[in-house]
Amino acid sequence: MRNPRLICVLLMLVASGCGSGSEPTSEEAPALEATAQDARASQRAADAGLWAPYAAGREQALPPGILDSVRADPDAVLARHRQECAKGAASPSCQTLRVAVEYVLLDALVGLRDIGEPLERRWLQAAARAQTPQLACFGLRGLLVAEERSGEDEALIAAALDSLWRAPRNVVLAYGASAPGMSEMLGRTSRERGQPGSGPELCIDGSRDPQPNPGLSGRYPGAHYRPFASTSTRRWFTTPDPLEKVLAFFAHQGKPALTADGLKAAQIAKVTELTSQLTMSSEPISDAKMAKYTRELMDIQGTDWSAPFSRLEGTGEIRYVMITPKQAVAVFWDDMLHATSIVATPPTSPTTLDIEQQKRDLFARAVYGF
Amino acid sequence: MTRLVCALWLLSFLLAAPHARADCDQCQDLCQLMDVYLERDMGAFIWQQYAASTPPPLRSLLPANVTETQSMEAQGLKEFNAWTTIRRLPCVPPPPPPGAAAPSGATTILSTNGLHPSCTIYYGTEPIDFPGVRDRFERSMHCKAVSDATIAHEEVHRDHCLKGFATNPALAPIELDRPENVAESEYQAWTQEQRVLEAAIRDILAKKGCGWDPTPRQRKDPSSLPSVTQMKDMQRRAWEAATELYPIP
Repeated sequence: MRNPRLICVLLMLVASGCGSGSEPTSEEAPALEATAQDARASQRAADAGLWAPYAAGREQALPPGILDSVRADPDAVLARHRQECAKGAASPSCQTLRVAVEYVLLDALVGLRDIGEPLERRWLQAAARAQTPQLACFGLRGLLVAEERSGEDEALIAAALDSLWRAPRNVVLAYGASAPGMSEMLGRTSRERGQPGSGPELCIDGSRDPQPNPGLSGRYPGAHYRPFASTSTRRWFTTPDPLEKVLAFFAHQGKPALTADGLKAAQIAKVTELTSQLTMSSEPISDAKMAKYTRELMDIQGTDWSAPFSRLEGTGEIRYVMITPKQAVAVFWDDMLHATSIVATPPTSPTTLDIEQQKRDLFARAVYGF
Repeated sequence: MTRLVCALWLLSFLLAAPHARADCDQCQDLCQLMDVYLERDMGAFIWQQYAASTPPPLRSLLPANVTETQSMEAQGLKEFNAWTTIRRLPCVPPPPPPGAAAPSGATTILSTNGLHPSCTIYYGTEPIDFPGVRDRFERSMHCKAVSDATIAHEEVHRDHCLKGFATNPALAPIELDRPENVAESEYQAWTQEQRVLEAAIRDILAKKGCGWDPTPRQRKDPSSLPSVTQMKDMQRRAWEAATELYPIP
């Protein structure tokens, strides 16, 4: 090899360290570190954009005083809604009044249920459609435990699986196994904390999960987010379009779909290409350039995108599409959801060359067990 | 270092409850238990944002002033308190007893000396393992499920502390003090509390057979049963409200 330091880079990738010979000089070190930090911060910001955590305010926002007015005079709330919001008027005040009417219905239904009075199906259907998550949950539970269900009931139950609100979604996950076509879909759920299926199935949880960044679907037109199949480290989208059409969409953007083996072969090809660039270079390689190449090599080797899908059932061959330089999605025909699934998982942390950081990571893993 | 215990913002109302039961295993206890459960859910979420186990693309960046345990705890507390101002409690807290001040802010009831090799859990200034101390703590909480959950929370911190000093006694005081590790320990501790509370809730549901929803009527107070007129009013309102929401074509 023309440049002996290349050997060091490659060794670093294998052994996570290359001794003092590869370290920048003391003068160069701060600048190099700053550049690396800037690059990491920039990439992290971009990645964080795709994987933004929950936004603040996960609960339904209610105008102040609305519950007081419902409890003080529920009939007045109904009368106002009837007078001011005929034919589903969509003004902000009518939207507020509508939520108030939902609370009137919730109070009435809970009161009747408490004294053992039968609940009319029509009440439950109205409740199941509600914006108020606790009321929707109450209505869905009534429909789910009913001896008979209509097609309309089934549609309401199925729709609730994709609700971002946890209470209605969780009650369907808890009681929905008997609903037609539901058992297969439930095979895609996760028991992760705070995710569908976790926690008691009580209709009091007023929180909702976040809408994910659509960029994680590769911006496939019409991709439909599936909250019940998603977790904090998995964003699941589907489309009724056939697999071939989805793959063609990405290919048209210059983002080819690869199998797991193909993805590994592409990674090796990139490593070879970068290595060639280094070895063929006639100019001396600066530390800054070496650091850049090292980082690129580590990024290429960083994430095994196929690992999260290794035990997934009900899929055909899974293809992987790099939708950004550092983010892949898995694309496959899903036999459980009867649709083409597009699923994103986050990239793993790049291997660090910092020995002290490695020590810290090892300590944390030993103590906290992750 | 004193580690703030699982925030006891809500528990303060339990402390103030004039007729609280120690066993806390009846249908009417579900509301407050679920309330605490949901608090723990939010707390775990807050800590998970910063936790060492959260992959970097999903991890939130910490403010520059957060550098060790105290500032990390303060950051989590700040976010939790901000949330408590917008949340709606599923239960209406009972008023404080006559003459008692209304509960306010965080109260430290248990703490773990997490940067010392002893890793002791304290109730106030007394180690919880001292004779009678745990019993006094449980009685002060007025709800066994909640006191069990609180202790389980601190035991997670103690476990991390013990493992840290066993792994590397020299590094432990530094590493256990790192913000991402503090957040990780809190995330696991709040999640453990959730598990204990969930088990208690499920136990009540299974043994008592109570269905439950978030209104005071569900407290099964016989005097709260409606009259026939009230019942008819509820039926009428249910019809009217359902029709207002989804008119029959």
